[in-house]
Amino acid sequence: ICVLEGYAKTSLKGRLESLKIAHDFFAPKAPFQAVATEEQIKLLHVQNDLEREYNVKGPTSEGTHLFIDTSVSDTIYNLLVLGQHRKAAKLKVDFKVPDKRYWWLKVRALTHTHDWEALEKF
Amino acid sequence: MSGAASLTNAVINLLALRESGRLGLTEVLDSMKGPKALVLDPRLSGPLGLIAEVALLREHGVDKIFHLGPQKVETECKNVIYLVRPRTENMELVAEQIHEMEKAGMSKDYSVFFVPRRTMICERVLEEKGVYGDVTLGEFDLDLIPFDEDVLSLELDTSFRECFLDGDRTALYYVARSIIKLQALYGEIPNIKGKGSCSKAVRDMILRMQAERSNDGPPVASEIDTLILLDRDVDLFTPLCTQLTYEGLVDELFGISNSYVDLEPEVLGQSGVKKVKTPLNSNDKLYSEIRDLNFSVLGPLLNKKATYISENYKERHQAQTVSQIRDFMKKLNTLQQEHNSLRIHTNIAEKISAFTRSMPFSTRIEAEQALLVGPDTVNDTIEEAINKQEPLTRVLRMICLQSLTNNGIKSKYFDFLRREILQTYGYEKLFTLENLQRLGMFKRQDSKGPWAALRKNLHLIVEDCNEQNPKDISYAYSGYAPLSVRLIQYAIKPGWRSIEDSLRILPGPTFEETQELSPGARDASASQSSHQRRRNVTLVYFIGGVTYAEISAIRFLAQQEEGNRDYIIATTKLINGDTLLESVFEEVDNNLLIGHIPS
Repeated sequence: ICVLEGYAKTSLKGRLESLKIAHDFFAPKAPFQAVATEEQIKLLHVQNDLEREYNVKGPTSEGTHLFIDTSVSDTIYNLLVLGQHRKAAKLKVDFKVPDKRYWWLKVRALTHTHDWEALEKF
Repeated sequence: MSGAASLTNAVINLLALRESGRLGLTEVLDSMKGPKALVLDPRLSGPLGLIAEVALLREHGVDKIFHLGPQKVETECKNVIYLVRPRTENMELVAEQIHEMEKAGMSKDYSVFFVPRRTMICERVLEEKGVYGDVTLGEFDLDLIPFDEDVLSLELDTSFRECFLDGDRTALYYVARSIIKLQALYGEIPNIKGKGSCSKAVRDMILRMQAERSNDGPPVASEIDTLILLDRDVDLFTPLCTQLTYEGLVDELFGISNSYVDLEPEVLGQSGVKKVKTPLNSNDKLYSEIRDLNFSVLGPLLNKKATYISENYKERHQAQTVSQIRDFMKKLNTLQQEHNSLRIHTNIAEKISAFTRSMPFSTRIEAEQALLVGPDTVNDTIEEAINKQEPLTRVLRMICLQSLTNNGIKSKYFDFLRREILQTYGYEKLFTLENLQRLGMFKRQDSKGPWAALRKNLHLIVEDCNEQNPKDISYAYSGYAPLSVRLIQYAIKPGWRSIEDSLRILPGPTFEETQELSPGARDASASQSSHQRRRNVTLVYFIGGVTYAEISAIRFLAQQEEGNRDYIIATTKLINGDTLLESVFEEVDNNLLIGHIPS
């Protein structure tokens, strides 16, 4: 399990590579961990694309990523805050997020953007 | 001694223990002549503050105090003393700082003192970093630090993790040594009882060390008659529950560290933005009266105190004669002190009650009570907490408590929870969950667990719990009697034999025995007890941590037994549910740099 020390890698590419190794390591005997790792790889790819699309100015002012390395919930939340409801819904399906959690995220995001109209509608 | 407890009312002379710590420290400082700079491990500055004050350091030539960190040490002094825990990260910092100073052309003498022991691995790191030859190494054997008149702690932050997750026995060795030291100061302890594999290991070590070092120094009369060793993993239920005593809630909410709490200035009625360190110990008369009470009875009590004080102030108007005025002035000083402390605690209590009245808090308490009284599950509450992204420790406390009381979580739900947590709090939490699984705090449901039987046999749930006038230790958790303290209660009266069935289903071996005192000690004890009937003193040693509410419950026991038994509580670390879980969190170094893969 120590394979995951690869988290110390500084580049996303390196991170993905070591996650791949971890996945292969988990695959034969730890199905849950394997699936989780696979999802994480998928998530990082999605986040990479999102980062390029919505964070064109490069790193945000605080010098952090907007998407990369955040959790699934946080990614969806960020998309909702940006008003990208279609993309958020797609992520919900792709990562099998339960309805309940999704609604919570939506409520919080809409409250954050003061989108009271949309909040009332749903 | 400004902030530390005065210790003068302790049942055994704990000042001697503090004195031995001070002595050790001055020896360290005097090992280098002339003015010196002291570089402290930040983890040590709190505990050290409880045994020595800055003035003492100055007296022994300390010119400037630094905290060990990535920043440079800038000092004119030729001598630099490092006082550190034996951790490899510390060694790297030390080496780096020395290199910096050498590079700057400042040739100095360096000493590194390890608290409490040097380790091979640390020496190795110094060697690798090429500074081994430049430093003088030493040890500062500081172990138990008196936190209050009845509380001692080794303050080893990671002791729970080391003992029960990593299987590292170093902490146990420190525990054993600290007991040997107590025996040297307060005499041999005739009765030893314990539960758990770590306790057993400590007992074996004590007996061996004793055999090895028999007959040095004059025999001392036994002041402590019973030692009870308890492994934290015998009772993991209690720390997961929210503490409901005043002191416990202060800890849950603000975090007590080394008997100080950092408070917002507004809580103290001061201006400014910097948090204010406020000491919490038995020096504060009011605090020692209220710390152990269930929080629900605090309001009326504080109110009564306020009335009492204001009435006393009024006496000033009645004072007619000079002598009356003089009497009043004498009282005024204490009155003002009490007034001040009353103001602080009223403000803290107000903060706490705003918190305890809030929805999330009552939901949490309800969920905990449901699980304890159970068998019950609180899946909805857990899910909601995750969905609201409440702090992970809080969520895990509930999940672990459910897992422990239900002997696991239904397989399908177990996987669901794991997924929810990873997707919400991040993939890297995978390893924290694995740690909890290894500890048995979070698992898939299997056969029937011990909780139902324990609850029944040990009367852990007390229905008619009277928080106002408590008759039982269950007051500390509003109806739940902490398992650990119940075990202590039975150990004293009528003895563990009466609850063998319950002990058998708890993890680890049980032992109960009386050790033969050495002849000298026996004589010393006999001669003393003839002219002075002392109260019985029991030392309870929690290996892996103890919570404030448990301490309160033990103090309550002391008041119960017709006042003929006192308790001293020792532990490796003062904890609450959050700090306990945090210590087993798997920190994942995340060095990801900004930037994405170019397509």
